[in-house]
Amino acid sequence: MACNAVCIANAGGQIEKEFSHLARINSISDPLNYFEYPIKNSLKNKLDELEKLNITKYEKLKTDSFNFANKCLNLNKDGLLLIQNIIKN
Amino acid sequence: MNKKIIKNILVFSNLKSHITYEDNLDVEIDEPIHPYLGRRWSEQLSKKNLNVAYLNTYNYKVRSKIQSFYYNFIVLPKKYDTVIVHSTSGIGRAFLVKLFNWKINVIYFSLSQINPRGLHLMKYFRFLLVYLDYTSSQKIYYGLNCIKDNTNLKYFKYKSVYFPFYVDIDFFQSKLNQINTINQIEPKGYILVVGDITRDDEYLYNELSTSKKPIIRISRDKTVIENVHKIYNPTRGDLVLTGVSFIDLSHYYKNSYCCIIASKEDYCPSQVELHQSLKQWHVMQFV
Repeated sequence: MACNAVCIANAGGQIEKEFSHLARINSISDPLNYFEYPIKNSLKNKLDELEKLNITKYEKLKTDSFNFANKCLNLNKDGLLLIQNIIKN
Repeated sequence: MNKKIIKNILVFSNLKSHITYEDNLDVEIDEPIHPYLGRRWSEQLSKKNLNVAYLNTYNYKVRSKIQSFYYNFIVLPKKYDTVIVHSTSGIGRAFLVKLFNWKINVIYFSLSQINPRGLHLMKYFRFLLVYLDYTSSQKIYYGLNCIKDNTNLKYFKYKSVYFPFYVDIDFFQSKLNQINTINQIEPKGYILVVGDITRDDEYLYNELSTSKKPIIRISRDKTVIENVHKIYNPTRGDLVLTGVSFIDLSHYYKNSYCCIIASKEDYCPSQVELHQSLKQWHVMQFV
């Protein structure tokens, strides 16, 4: 996501749980695409859906990925805040 | 004259997850280059009088298991004020460190659910080990996966803290701005699949058997590489790669059509390695 990649992951697991949580607390939509693992054709259908998108919508998915990573997963930004908190204490 | 108190911290780490892919025998003091660790943290922490070192806990490939146990859990921790342990490197380790070094501070990262497989006896044994790890730790850091599923944690709310998923955006951006170092000739519009034994390759290759897009499969695990070689489709342009650096990996991510995670072990999610590494860093600021 930090590399502008479009990501597809299995639904209902830790990935969805943590990413949907991060999206909620940061008031941003979760850019991950989920499929029902291990249901047959679930991944295939999800990929088909992706391929049907026009270039504008596909590029938006890539941008959304990066924006999410930048807002919700930014290690350095939050790490520095933590250090500041320690200094205060 | 005020004398600065310097704290020494040892991080139990699986250095195979770092960029060098090498097993190291002894403690490393250089900050590993890792997009999920962040960079420049050692420098920042040293300004706070925190000296950080890393121990590859998988050094039993170099030492015997008994020697490795003696060195990792008994000899080495005595030189440090704090040891950082994470659940994904094996349950019971925090307890062992504390058992042989009762004055030491142990910081524990509980980043995966307890393995639900096996006999009831085995499950109870795992539960007990995790309980001992929690009891032995001064602070516990956990991911969302522990909130519902890890029933042990409810007894230790007073010393546990939630930390979410992070990556180092600056790392990726700086690497993507560099010249592409990938030696392989990439197929166009490929699907990227990265990860080790937790990935369900059979499911993935079956699902995508009719797709025209080639799949690039990247793994550090030799077994995975061998298995994928049996099922991949080279005529479509599929590639199977190993030993790929994070720098090259960032380019593979960027140039991919999409990345797919089909994880067969949800209690130990694919990104857990990411969590474990970076949370080691976060916790140091609280030590």
